[in-house]
Amino acid sequence: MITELPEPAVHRPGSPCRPRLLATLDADYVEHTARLGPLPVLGPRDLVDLAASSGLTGRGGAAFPTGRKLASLLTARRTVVIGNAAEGEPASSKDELLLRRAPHLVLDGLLLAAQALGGQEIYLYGPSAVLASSVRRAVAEREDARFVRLVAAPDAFVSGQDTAVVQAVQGRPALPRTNPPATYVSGVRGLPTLVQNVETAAHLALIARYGAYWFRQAGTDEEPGTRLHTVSGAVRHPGVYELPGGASLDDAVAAAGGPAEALQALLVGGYHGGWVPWDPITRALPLSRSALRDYDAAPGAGVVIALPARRCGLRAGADVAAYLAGQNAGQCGPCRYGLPSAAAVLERLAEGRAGPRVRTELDRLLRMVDGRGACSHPSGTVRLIRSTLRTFHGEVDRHLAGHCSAAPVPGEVRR
Amino acid sequence: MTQRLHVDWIRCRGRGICYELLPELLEADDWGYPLSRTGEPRPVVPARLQEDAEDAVRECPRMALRLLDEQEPARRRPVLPKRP
Repeated sequence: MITELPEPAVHRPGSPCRPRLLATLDADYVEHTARLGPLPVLGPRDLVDLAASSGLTGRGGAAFPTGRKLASLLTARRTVVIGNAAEGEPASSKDELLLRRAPHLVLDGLLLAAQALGGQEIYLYGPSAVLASSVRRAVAEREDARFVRLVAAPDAFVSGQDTAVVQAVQGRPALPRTNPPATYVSGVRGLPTLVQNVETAAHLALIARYGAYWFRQAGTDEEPGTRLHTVSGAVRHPGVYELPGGASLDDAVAAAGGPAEALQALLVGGYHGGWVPWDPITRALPLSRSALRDYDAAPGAGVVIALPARRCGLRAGADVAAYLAGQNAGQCGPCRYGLPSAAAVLERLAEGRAGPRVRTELDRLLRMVDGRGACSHPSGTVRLIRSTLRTFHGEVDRHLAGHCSAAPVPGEVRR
Repeated sequence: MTQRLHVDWIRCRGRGICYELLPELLEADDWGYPLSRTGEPRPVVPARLQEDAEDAVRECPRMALRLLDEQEPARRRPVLPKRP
Protein backbone atom coordinates (compact mmCIF):
# COMPACT_ATOMS: atom_id res chain seq x y z
CA MET A 1 0.00 0.00 0.00
CA ILE A 2 1.44 3.31 -1.00
CA THR A 3 0.11 6.55 0.33
CA GLU A 4 0.18 9.33 -2.21
CA LEU A 5 2.32 12.31 -1.55
CA PRO A 6 0.27 15.44 -1.34
CA GLU A 7 3.38 17.57 -1.38
CA PRO A 8 6.79 16.06 -0.69
CA ALA A 9 8.54 18.62 1.40
CA VAL A 10 11.16 18.94 4.03
CA HIS A 11 9.59 20.77 6.85
CA ARG A 12 11.22 22.46 9.80
CA PRO A 13 9.67 25.63 11.14
CA GLY A 14 12.16 28.45 11.20
CA SER A 15 14.81 26.67 9.15
CA PRO A 16 13.46 25.57 5.84
CA CYS A 17 15.37 22.73 4.29
CA ARG A 18 14.87 21.61 0.75
CA PRO A 19 13.88 18.05 -0.12
CA ARG A 20 16.71 15.91 -1.43
CA LEU A 21 15.57 12.38 -2.16
CA LEU A 22 12.15 13.69 -3.11
CA ALA A 23 13.43 16.72 -5.03
CA THR A 24 13.16 15.11 -8.45
CA LEU A 25 10.27 12.73 -8.81
CA ASP A 26 9.20 10.70 -11.82
CA ALA A 27 12.28 11.69 -13.81
CA ASP A 28 13.45 9.48 -16.66
CA TYR A 29 17.16 8.76 -16.96
CA VAL A 30 17.85 11.73 -19.24
CA GLU A 31 16.19 14.17 -16.88
CA HIS A 32 17.75 12.48 -13.86
CA THR A 33 21.31 12.89 -15.16
CA ALA A 34 20.58 16.35 -16.50
CA ARG A 35 19.50 17.47 -13.04
CA LEU A 36 22.06 15.68 -10.91
CA GLY A 37 24.98 15.24 -13.28
CA PRO A 38 26.59 11.91 -14.11
CA LEU A 39 27.23 9.33 -11.41
CA PRO A 40 30.85 9.75 -10.24
CA VAL A 41 33.18 6.76 -10.23
CA LEU A 42 34.63 6.20 -6.77
CA GLY A 43 37.40 3.94 -5.56
CA PRO A 44 36.71 1.71 -2.58
CA ARG A 45 38.57 3.94 -0.11
CA ASP A 46 36.88 7.08 -1.37
CA LEU A 47 33.45 5.54 -1.03
CA VAL A 48 34.10 4.33 2.52
CA ASP A 49 35.60 7.69 3.54
CA LEU A 50 32.69 9.62 2.07
CA ALA A 51 30.09 7.41 3.71
CA ALA A 52 31.90 7.51 7.06
CA SER A 53 32.45 11.27 7.13
CA SER A 54 28.88 11.97 6.07
CA GLY A 55 27.62 10.09 9.13
CA LEU A 56 25.03 8.28 7.01
CA THR A 57 23.32 5.41 8.83
CA GLY A 58 21.25 2.54 7.46
CA ARG A 59 17.65 3.58 6.85
CA GLY A 60 16.17 0.09 6.99
CA GLY A 61 15.70 0.36 10.74
CA ALA A 62 18.89 -0.74 12.47
CA ALA A 63 20.74 2.56 11.85
CA PHE A 64 24.10 0.82 11.45
CA PRO A 65 26.76 3.29 10.25
CA THR A 66 26.98 2.87 6.47
CA GLY A 67 30.71 3.69 6.39
CA ARG A 68 31.47 0.83 8.76
CA LYS A 69 29.32 -1.60 6.83
CA LEU A 70 31.05 -0.69 3.58
CA ALA A 71 34.48 -0.82 5.24
CA SER A 72 33.87 -4.39 6.36
CA LEU A 73 33.63 -5.36 2.67
CA LEU A 74 36.88 -3.65 1.65
CA THR A 75 39.06 -6.72 1.99
CA ALA A 76 36.75 -8.94 -0.04
CA ARG A 77 37.83 -9.68 -3.57
CA ARG A 78 34.32 -10.43 -4.81
CA THR A 79 31.13 -9.13 -3.29
CA VAL A 80 27.41 -9.17 -3.92
CA VAL A 81 25.34 -6.00 -3.59
CA ILE A 82 21.62 -6.13 -2.77
CA GLY A 83 19.26 -3.16 -2.57
CA ASN A 84 16.60 -3.99 0.00
CA ALA A 85 13.15 -2.46 -0.47
CA ALA A 86 11.19 -5.16 1.39
CA GLU A 87 9.45 -3.10 4.02
CA GLY A 88 7.29 -5.89 5.41
CA GLU A 89 6.02 -3.30 7.83
CA PRO A 90 2.44 -2.40 6.88
CA ALA A 91 2.92 1.16 8.19
CA SER A 92 5.95 1.90 5.99
CA SER A 93 5.81 2.86 2.36
CA LYS A 94 8.86 5.06 1.86
CA ASP A 95 11.01 2.42 0.14
CA GLU A 96 8.24 1.57 -2.28
CA LEU A 97 7.72 5.27 -2.92
CA LEU A 98 11.41 5.67 -3.78
CA LEU A 99 11.30 2.75 -6.21
CA ARG A 100 8.13 4.07 -7.77
CA ARG A 101 9.10 7.71 -8.13
CA ALA A 102 12.91 7.94 -7.87
CA PRO A 103 14.23 4.57 -9.07
CA HIS A 104 17.31 6.07 -10.75
CA LEU A 105 18.57 7.44 -7.44
CA VAL A 106 18.36 3.95 -5.94
CA LEU A 107 20.05 2.34 -8.95
CA ASP A 108 22.81 4.99 -8.76
CA GLY A 109 23.53 4.09 -5.14
CA LEU A 110 23.68 0.35 -5.81
CA LEU A 111 25.86 0.72 -8.91
CA LEU A 112 28.17 3.05 -7.03
CA ALA A 113 28.66 0.55 -4.21
CA ALA A 114 29.04 -2.40 -6.56
CA GLN A 115 31.54 -0.54 -8.71
CA ALA A 116 33.68 0.50 -5.73
CA LEU A 117 33.55 -2.83 -3.90
CA GLY A 118 34.05 -5.16 -6.82
CA GLY A 119 30.45 -6.29 -6.71
CA GLN A 120 29.88 -8.61 -9.62
CA GLU A 121 26.27 -9.27 -8.88
CA ILE A 122 23.68 -6.62 -8.12
CA TYR A 123 20.16 -7.38 -6.99
CA LEU A 124 17.20 -5.19 -6.26
CA TYR A 125 14.77 -6.87 -3.89
CA GLY A 126 11.31 -5.39 -3.35
CA PRO A 127 7.56 -5.62 -3.91
CA SER A 128 6.85 -7.26 -7.27
CA ALA A 129 4.37 -4.65 -8.52
CA VAL A 130 6.82 -1.79 -8.34
CA LEU A 131 9.68 -3.90 -9.74
CA ALA A 132 7.54 -4.81 -12.75
CA SER A 133 6.59 -1.21 -13.49
CA SER A 134 8.80 1.76 -12.62
CA VAL A 135 11.95 -0.18 -11.77
CA ARG A 136 11.87 -2.29 -14.92
CA ARG A 137 11.35 0.87 -16.95
CA ALA A 138 14.25 2.61 -15.21
CA VAL A 139 16.60 -0.34 -15.68
CA ALA A 140 15.76 -0.41 -19.39
CA GLU A 141 16.60 3.26 -19.73
CA ARG A 142 20.24 2.94 -18.74
CA GLU A 143 23.09 0.87 -20.07
CA ASP A 144 24.93 0.57 -16.73
CA ALA A 145 21.99 -1.13 -14.98
CA ARG A 146 21.48 -4.01 -17.36
CA PHE A 147 23.08 -6.50 -14.95
CA VAL A 148 20.81 -5.53 -12.06
CA ARG A 149 18.60 -8.50 -11.27
CA LEU A 150 15.15 -7.86 -9.84
CA VAL A 151 13.93 -10.21 -7.12
CA ALA A 152 10.35 -10.09 -5.81
CA ALA A 153 9.96 -9.89 -2.03
CA PRO A 154 7.00 -11.69 -0.47
CA ASP A 155 4.67 -9.52 1.56
CA ALA A 156 5.70 -10.77 4.99
CA PHE A 157 7.03 -8.91 8.00
CA VAL A 158 10.31 -10.82 8.31
CA SER A 159 11.11 -10.94 4.57
CA GLY A 160 13.23 -7.80 4.85
CA GLN A 161 15.61 -9.15 7.51
CA ASP A 162 19.02 -9.21 5.84
CA THR A 163 19.54 -12.96 6.21
CA ALA A 164 16.09 -13.53 4.67
CA VAL A 165 17.00 -11.21 1.80
CA VAL A 166 20.10 -13.29 1.07
CA GLN A 167 17.97 -16.44 1.03
CA ALA A 168 15.42 -14.94 -1.34
CA VAL A 169 18.08 -13.79 -3.78
CA GLN A 170 19.29 -17.39 -3.96
CA GLY A 171 15.81 -18.57 -4.87
CA ARG A 172 14.96 -19.95 -1.44
CA PRO A 173 12.06 -18.99 0.84
CA ALA A 174 12.60 -15.49 2.25
CA LEU A 175 13.13 -16.65 5.83
CA PRO A 176 15.74 -15.38 8.28
CA ARG A 177 18.81 -17.51 8.95
CA THR A 178 21.04 -17.77 11.98
CA ASN A 179 23.46 -14.93 12.53
CA PRO A 180 26.51 -15.24 12.84
CA PRO A 181 27.81 -15.32 10.23
CA ALA A 182 26.74 -11.79 9.31
CA THR A 183 25.76 -11.32 5.67
CA TYR A 184 28.69 -8.98 5.07
CA VAL A 185 30.98 -11.87 6.03
CA SER A 186 29.10 -14.66 4.31
CA GLY A 187 25.97 -14.02 2.30
CA VAL A 188 24.93 -15.06 -1.19
CA ARG A 189 26.71 -18.37 -1.94
CA GLY A 190 29.12 -17.63 0.88
CA LEU A 191 30.32 -14.37 -0.69
CA PRO A 192 30.53 -11.22 1.39
CA THR A 193 27.24 -9.48 0.70
CA LEU A 194 26.16 -5.90 1.13
CA VAL A 195 22.46 -5.74 1.97
CA GLN A 196 21.59 -2.09 1.80
CA ASN A 197 18.25 -0.39 2.31
CA VAL A 198 17.23 1.49 -0.86
CA GLU A 199 16.88 4.82 0.95
CA THR A 200 20.45 4.43 2.19
CA ALA A 201 21.55 3.72 -1.38
CA ALA A 202 19.73 6.82 -2.63
CA HIS A 203 21.46 9.00 -0.03
CA LEU A 204 24.79 7.52 -1.08
CA ALA A 205 24.10 8.50 -4.69
CA LEU A 206 23.68 12.13 -3.61
CA ILE A 207 26.63 12.11 -1.20
CA ALA A 208 28.88 10.82 -4.00
CA ARG A 209 27.91 13.87 -6.07
CA TYR A 210 27.73 16.62 -3.48
CA GLY A 211 29.98 15.40 -0.67
CA ALA A 212 29.81 14.61 3.01
CA TYR A 213 29.77 18.26 4.07
CA TRP A 214 26.71 18.93 1.94
CA PHE A 215 24.96 15.92 3.50
CA ARG A 216 25.56 17.30 6.99
CA GLN A 217 24.09 20.68 6.13
CA ALA A 218 20.72 19.17 6.90
CA GLY A 219 19.96 17.50 10.21
CA THR A 220 21.98 17.45 13.41
CA ASP A 221 25.37 16.06 14.41
CA GLU A 222 23.67 12.99 15.83
CA GLU A 223 21.23 12.50 12.95
CA PRO A 224 22.86 14.10 9.90
CA GLY A 225 21.13 14.45 6.56
CA THR A 226 17.47 13.99 5.79
CA ARG A 227 15.25 10.99 6.41
CA LEU A 228 12.04 9.70 4.86
CA HIS A 229 9.16 9.26 7.28
CA THR A 230 5.92 7.43 6.65
CA VAL A 231 3.40 9.27 8.81
CA SER A 232 0.01 7.62 9.24
CA GLY A 233 -2.86 7.24 11.69
CA ALA A 234 -4.82 10.23 12.97
CA VAL A 235 -3.11 12.90 10.84
CA ARG A 236 -4.75 15.01 8.14
CA HIS A 237 -2.58 13.89 5.24
CA PRO A 238 -0.97 10.50 5.79
CA GLY A 239 2.01 10.04 3.49
CA VAL A 240 5.76 9.94 3.06
CA TYR A 241 7.66 13.07 4.09
CA GLU A 242 11.31 13.97 3.96
CA LEU A 243 12.47 15.65 7.17
CA PRO A 244 15.89 16.77 8.36
CA GLY A 245 17.48 14.41 10.89
CA GLY A 246 16.55 15.34 14.43
CA ALA A 247 13.25 16.96 13.41
CA SER A 248 10.76 16.82 16.26
CA LEU A 249 7.75 14.55 16.62
CA ASP A 250 5.71 17.72 16.17
CA ASP A 251 7.47 18.38 12.85
CA ALA A 252 6.58 14.90 11.61
CA VAL A 253 2.92 15.31 12.51
CA ALA A 254 2.86 18.88 11.13
CA ALA A 255 4.40 17.70 7.84
CA ALA A 256 1.43 15.36 7.49
CA GLY A 257 -1.01 18.24 7.90
CA GLY A 258 -1.21 18.14 11.69
CA PRO A 259 -3.40 15.98 13.93
CA ALA A 260 -6.77 15.02 12.46
CA GLU A 261 -8.16 14.91 16.01
CA ALA A 262 -6.85 14.93 19.58
CA LEU A 263 -3.88 12.56 19.92
CA GLN A 264 -2.64 10.54 22.88
CA ALA A 265 0.56 8.90 21.61
CA LEU A 266 2.76 8.19 18.60
CA LEU A 267 4.15 4.80 17.71
CA VAL A 268 7.68 5.71 16.60
CA GLY A 269 9.92 3.32 14.70
CA GLY A 270 7.12 1.09 13.48
CA TYR A 271 5.71 -2.14 14.82
CA HIS A 272 9.05 -3.02 16.42
CA GLY A 273 9.28 0.47 17.88
CA GLY A 274 7.91 2.19 20.95
CA TRP A 275 5.07 4.47 21.97
CA VAL A 276 5.81 8.08 22.89
CA PRO A 277 3.00 9.90 24.72
CA TRP A 278 1.75 13.00 22.91
CA ASP A 279 1.95 15.94 25.30
CA PRO A 280 3.38 19.47 25.13
CA ILE A 281 6.80 18.28 26.31
CA THR A 282 7.23 15.01 24.47
CA ARG A 283 5.99 16.35 21.15
CA ALA A 284 9.06 18.60 21.04
CA LEU A 285 11.40 15.59 21.32
CA PRO A 286 13.67 15.16 18.30
CA LEU A 287 13.44 12.02 16.19
CA SER A 288 16.87 10.84 17.32
CA ARG A 289 18.11 7.70 18.98
CA SER A 290 19.30 9.43 22.17
CA ALA A 291 16.14 11.48 22.69
CA LEU A 292 13.85 8.48 22.20
CA ARG A 293 15.93 5.98 24.18
CA ASP A 294 13.85 6.46 27.32
CA TYR A 295 10.84 5.30 25.33
CA ASP A 296 12.70 2.34 23.86
CA ALA A 297 11.97 3.90 20.48
CA ALA A 298 14.20 5.11 17.63
CA PRO A 299 13.58 6.70 14.23
CA GLY A 300 14.21 3.25 12.74
CA ALA A 301 12.80 3.06 9.24
CA GLY A 302 10.98 6.36 9.76
CA VAL A 303 7.54 5.08 10.70
CA VAL A 304 5.32 7.37 12.77
CA ILE A 305 1.74 6.32 13.61
CA ALA A 306 -0.55 8.75 15.43
CA LEU A 307 -2.95 7.20 17.94
CA PRO A 308 -6.07 9.29 18.60
CA ALA A 309 -7.11 10.06 22.17
CA ARG A 310 -10.46 8.32 21.74
CA ARG A 311 -8.85 4.92 21.07
CA CYS A 312 -7.72 2.50 23.74
CA GLY A 313 -3.92 2.21 23.76
CA LEU A 314 -4.09 -1.39 24.95
CA ARG A 315 -6.41 -2.28 22.09
CA ALA A 316 -4.00 -0.66 19.61
CA GLY A 317 -1.00 -2.44 21.17
CA ALA A 318 -2.81 -5.78 21.28
CA ASP A 319 -3.73 -5.49 17.60
CA VAL A 320 -0.12 -4.84 16.61
CA ALA A 321 1.12 -7.66 18.87
CA ALA A 322 -1.41 -10.09 17.37
CA TYR A 323 -0.29 -9.15 13.86
CA LEU A 324 3.39 -9.58 14.77
CA ALA A 325 2.75 -12.91 16.50
CA GLY A 326 1.06 -14.12 13.33
CA GLN A 327 4.05 -12.99 11.27
CA ASN A 328 6.57 -15.20 13.07
CA ALA A 329 8.30 -17.46 10.58
CA GLY A 330 7.72 -20.61 12.64
CA GLN A 331 11.41 -21.46 12.64
CA CYS A 332 12.53 -20.73 16.18
CA GLY A 333 10.67 -22.32 19.09
CA PRO A 334 10.58 -19.47 21.62
CA CYS A 335 9.25 -17.04 18.97
CA ARG A 336 6.85 -19.56 17.46
CA TYR A 337 5.24 -20.49 20.78
CA GLY A 338 6.05 -17.48 22.92
CA LEU A 339 4.77 -14.65 20.73
CA PRO A 340 1.25 -16.07 20.26
CA SER A 341 1.07 -16.77 24.02
CA ALA A 342 2.14 -13.24 24.94
CA ALA A 343 -0.15 -11.68 22.31
CA ALA A 344 -3.08 -13.73 23.65
CA VAL A 345 -2.48 -12.49 27.21
CA LEU A 346 -2.34 -8.90 25.97
CA GLU A 347 -5.56 -9.50 24.04
CA ARG A 348 -7.27 -10.76 27.20
CA LEU A 349 -6.12 -7.62 28.98
CA ALA A 350 -7.39 -5.38 26.17
CA GLU A 351 -10.75 -7.13 26.32
CA GLY A 352 -10.90 -6.61 30.07
CA ARG A 353 -10.78 -10.33 30.82
CA ALA A 354 -7.36 -10.51 32.47
CA GLY A 355 -6.76 -11.30 36.11
CA PRO A 356 -4.70 -9.26 38.58
CA ARG A 357 -1.52 -11.26 37.90
CA VAL A 358 -1.45 -10.33 34.22
CA ARG A 359 1.60 -8.05 34.50
CA THR A 360 3.66 -10.78 36.15
CA GLU A 361 2.54 -13.38 33.66
CA LEU A 362 3.31 -11.18 30.66
CA ASP A 363 6.71 -10.25 32.08
CA ARG A 364 7.57 -13.92 32.55
CA LEU A 365 6.50 -14.79 29.00
CA LEU A 366 8.34 -11.86 27.46
CA ARG A 367 11.58 -12.80 29.20
CA MET A 368 11.23 -16.26 27.66
CA VAL A 369 11.07 -14.75 24.17
CA ASP A 370 13.42 -11.76 24.27
CA GLY A 371 16.60 -12.31 22.27
CA ARG A 372 15.82 -15.95 21.61
CA GLY A 373 15.59 -16.29 17.87
CA ALA A 374 17.67 -16.13 14.72
CA CYS A 375 16.41 -12.67 13.78
CA SER A 376 15.19 -9.55 15.54
CA HIS A 377 11.49 -10.42 15.32
CA PRO A 378 11.08 -11.82 18.86
CA SER A 379 13.00 -8.94 20.50
CA GLY A 380 11.21 -6.31 18.42
CA THR A 381 7.81 -7.69 19.35
CA VAL A 382 8.76 -7.92 23.03
CA ARG A 383 9.80 -4.26 22.86
CA LEU A 384 6.42 -3.26 21.42
CA ILE A 385 4.46 -5.17 24.09
CA ARG A 386 6.58 -3.79 26.95
CA SER A 387 6.20 -0.29 25.55
CA THR A 388 2.43 -0.76 25.37
CA LEU A 389 2.24 -1.83 29.03
CA ARG A 390 4.52 1.02 30.14
CA THR A 391 2.92 3.82 28.11
CA PHE A 392 -0.66 2.84 28.84
CA HIS A 393 -0.10 1.69 32.45
CA GLY A 394 -3.08 3.74 33.62
CA GLU A 395 -5.21 1.98 31.05
CA VAL A 396 -3.97 -1.40 32.35
CA ASP A 397 -5.22 -0.47 35.82
CA ARG A 398 -8.57 0.66 34.42
CA HIS A 399 -8.96 -2.55 32.44
CA LEU A 400 -8.14 -4.62 35.52
CA ALA A 401 -10.94 -2.73 37.29
CA GLY A 402 -13.31 -3.50 34.42
CA HIS A 403 -13.19 -0.10 32.73
CA CYS A 404 -11.71 1.37 29.59
CA SER A 405 -11.18 5.07 29.00
CA ALA A 406 -12.18 4.60 25.37
CA ALA A 407 -15.53 3.13 26.34
CA PRO A 408 -18.51 5.51 26.45
CA VAL A 409 -19.97 3.86 29.54
CA PRO A 410 -17.74 2.88 32.47
CA GLY A 411 -17.72 -0.86 32.87
CA GLU A 412 -17.99 -1.58 29.20
CA VAL A 413 -14.81 -2.47 27.37
CA ARG A 414 -15.06 -1.53 23.75
CA ARG A 415 -13.08 -3.13 20.98
CA MET B 1 39.46 -16.60 26.13
CA THR B 2 35.93 -16.13 27.40
CA GLN B 3 33.37 -18.03 25.44
CA ARG B 4 29.63 -17.69 25.16
CA LEU B 5 27.08 -20.37 24.52
CA HIS B 6 25.10 -19.69 21.38
CA VAL B 7 21.93 -21.53 20.44
CA ASP B 8 21.05 -21.82 16.76
CA TRP B 9 17.31 -21.36 17.28
CA ILE B 10 16.43 -22.55 13.81
CA ARG B 11 18.09 -25.91 14.46
CA CYS B 12 17.03 -26.31 18.09
CA ARG B 13 13.99 -28.54 18.66
CA GLY B 14 14.15 -28.55 22.44
CA ARG B 15 15.50 -32.08 22.87
CA GLY B 16 16.87 -31.01 26.24
CA ILE B 17 20.32 -32.64 26.40
CA CYS B 18 21.95 -29.24 26.92
CA TYR B 19 20.08 -28.27 30.07
CA GLU B 20 20.66 -31.74 31.49
CA LEU B 21 24.41 -31.39 30.95
CA LEU B 22 24.58 -27.72 31.93
CA PRO B 23 21.97 -27.24 34.65
CA GLU B 24 23.91 -24.34 36.19
CA LEU B 25 23.72 -22.39 32.94
CA LEU B 26 20.50 -23.54 31.31
CA GLU B 27 16.98 -24.55 32.24
CA ALA B 28 13.93 -25.50 30.20
CA ASP B 29 11.44 -22.82 29.22
CA ASP B 30 7.67 -23.41 29.04
CA TRP B 31 8.04 -25.17 25.70
CA GLY B 32 11.17 -27.23 26.43
CA TYR B 33 13.73 -24.95 24.80
CA PRO B 34 16.96 -24.09 26.63
CA LEU B 35 16.66 -20.87 28.63
CA SER B 36 19.74 -19.10 29.92
CA ARG B 37 19.67 -18.71 33.71
CA THR B 38 21.69 -15.49 33.57
CA GLY B 39 19.11 -13.67 31.46
CA GLU B 40 21.63 -13.05 28.65
CA PRO B 41 20.62 -14.65 25.36
CA ARG B 42 24.22 -15.93 25.00
CA PRO B 43 25.47 -16.73 28.51
CA VAL B 44 29.18 -16.59 29.33
CA VAL B 45 30.61 -20.04 30.05
CA PRO B 46 32.54 -20.00 33.37
CA ALA B 47 35.90 -21.79 33.21
CA ARG B 48 34.76 -24.58 35.53
CA LEU B 49 31.89 -25.38 33.17
CA GLN B 50 33.98 -25.27 30.01
CA GLU B 51 34.19 -29.06 29.65
CA ASP B 52 30.49 -29.55 30.32
CA ALA B 53 29.73 -26.88 27.74
CA GLU B 54 31.92 -28.61 25.18
CA ASP B 55 30.11 -31.88 25.96
CA ALA B 56 26.77 -30.18 25.45
CA VAL B 57 27.90 -28.82 22.09
CA ARG B 58 29.05 -32.31 21.06
CA GLU B 59 25.99 -34.12 22.38
CA CYS B 60 23.26 -31.89 20.94
CA PRO B 61 21.39 -34.18 18.54
CA ARG B 62 20.41 -31.18 16.42
CA MET B 63 23.92 -29.69 16.44
CA ALA B 64 22.31 -26.44 17.50
CA LEU B 65 24.87 -25.35 20.09
CA ARG B 66 28.10 -23.48 19.49
CA LEU B 67 30.72 -21.80 21.61
CA LEU B 68 31.52 -18.33 20.32
CA ASP B 69 34.60 -16.40 21.35
CA GLU B 70 33.74 -13.21 23.16
CA GLN B 71 35.68 -11.07 20.67
CA GLU B 72 33.94 -10.06 17.50
CA PRO B 73 31.19 -12.65 17.71
CA ALA B 74 29.65 -11.51 14.42
CA ARG B 75 32.81 -11.55 12.36
CA ARG B 76 34.05 -15.04 13.07
CA ARG B 77 32.68 -17.69 10.90
CA PRO B 78 32.40 -20.69 13.20
CA VAL B 79 33.23 -24.10 11.81
CA LEU B 80 30.00 -26.03 11.83
CA PRO B 81 29.77 -29.76 12.07
CA LYS B 82 28.32 -31.37 8.95
CA ARG B 83 24.60 -32.02 8.98
CA PRO B 84 23.73 -35.60 9.91
